[in-house]
Formats: sequence, structure tokens, C-alpha cells
Amino acid sequence: MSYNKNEKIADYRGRSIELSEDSWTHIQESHPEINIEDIRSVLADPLEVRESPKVTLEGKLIEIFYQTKIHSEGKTRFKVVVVKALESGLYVSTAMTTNAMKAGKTLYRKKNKGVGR
Amino acid sequence: MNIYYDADRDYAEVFFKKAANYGEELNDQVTAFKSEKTDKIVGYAFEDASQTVFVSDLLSPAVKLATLLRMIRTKEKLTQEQAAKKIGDITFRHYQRLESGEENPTLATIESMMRAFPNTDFSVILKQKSSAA
Repeated sequence: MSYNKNEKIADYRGRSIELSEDSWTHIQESHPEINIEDIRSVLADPLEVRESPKVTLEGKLIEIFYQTKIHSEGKTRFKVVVVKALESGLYVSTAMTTNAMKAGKTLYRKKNKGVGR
Repeated sequence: MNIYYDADRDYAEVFFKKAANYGEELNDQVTAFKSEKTDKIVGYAFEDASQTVFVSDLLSPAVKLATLLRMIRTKEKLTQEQAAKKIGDITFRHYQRLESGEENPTLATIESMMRAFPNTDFSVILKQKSSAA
């Protein structure tokens, strides 16, 4: 299913997280390995969610959602969605692939860890 | 070149090439994005970007200027066309080339930028790590 303008995606806690057109355009241009289904899936069913050591300029939380990604050569990869909290709600800041999780307090960890997608 | 700036987080991503990539943390403020195919660096991400982009040795002055323009434009909620008009003596296309790092500005253009955005310190594009302290 394709992206809907300013789409609101429910995360694993049922919270509504907005993916703005600007963020989606950026993700498509700079992280072509991530598609809209990846973003929906990482938010709805993360392997782990960590608190970023950084906060927004308003002093609010930044949460980093991770999901394991299967790599054809067996390398470690994670699909990542970064969510920022603002006065007006929760928003996707960016999404990407990384080779490791960033250090940070764990906010959520899925049981039966290790089931990749 | 593609530059993204999230003003709420003071976070920037600067990409030189479009390619499927993965991030590898260089330190707690800078991440390098590497091509999945070649393992060569195709971009960087900067936390605390207003500081880290400009003390970084990873970017040229032209790329730093492009990032600075993108930051100003995002903070002031301007389109590229509006930014070009605000600077005054440059065309929309000229502005696009500056913000994409394709072109170095003339001194006259830098002067116009400084007039248009008086609260911005344009000298930061020439900063280096050794002078950051």
C-alpha cells in the first residue's frame, strides 16, 4: 500500500505517529532501502525501542524503534524509525538502516527476540 | 546532493549519492552512511547539527554552506524560491545550486546572504575542528 499524505501510523502502544510529507520525501530520497511498509511494520511491531540520549529542542523525548532486517550476506542490520515528541503530537523524524543499535535506555523489548523480518 | 534538516531535533543528514545504505556510528554525534553495494560512504548524519556540521572535517566549505542554507530555510519555513527572493540578487536556480553544493558563492552573494539573514554567522562554514574549542 502506498503512502498517504501526512499518514498517521499506530505504534505498538496504539499511539498515533504522523509521517509528514517532508519526512517521507527525505526517506525516499536518502534511504531508498526503506519503504512505507517497513515504517509501518517497525512502528507497529518493533524488536526494541530505545530512548535517545538527545532530546528535542522543546526538551521532549526522542524514541528510536528497531526491527531486525535480514541481510543477504548475513550481516547485522536493523531497520530504524526515529520518532520525536512535540507539543502537537508524535512524528517520524527519519528512518534508516543501521548496523547496530545506538546506546540508550530500553523502553520496550519484544519477547522471543531474534525473529527477523 | 541531498540535505535534510530536522529543526526540532537540530539533526541533519547530508547525502552525496543515492544508494541503498546503512548507518555506522562514528561517535555519539556523527553517523556515516555506507553503500550496501560498495561499502563506500554516501552520506553523514549529525546530531547537534548547528555545532557539529561546522566543526567537522568531513564536509567541504561548499557543503557546509549548503547545509547552513538548508538549516536557515527550514527554521524560517521558507521555500527555495522564497529564500532566493529574500537574498535578493540571485535566481531560484542559482539558489538551488548553492543549496545543493553544486556551486561556490561569490563574495557578493555571501554579502547578500548576510544581509538577508543578519542573525546567522556565515563564518562558521570556514571553521575547522582545531578552532572549535
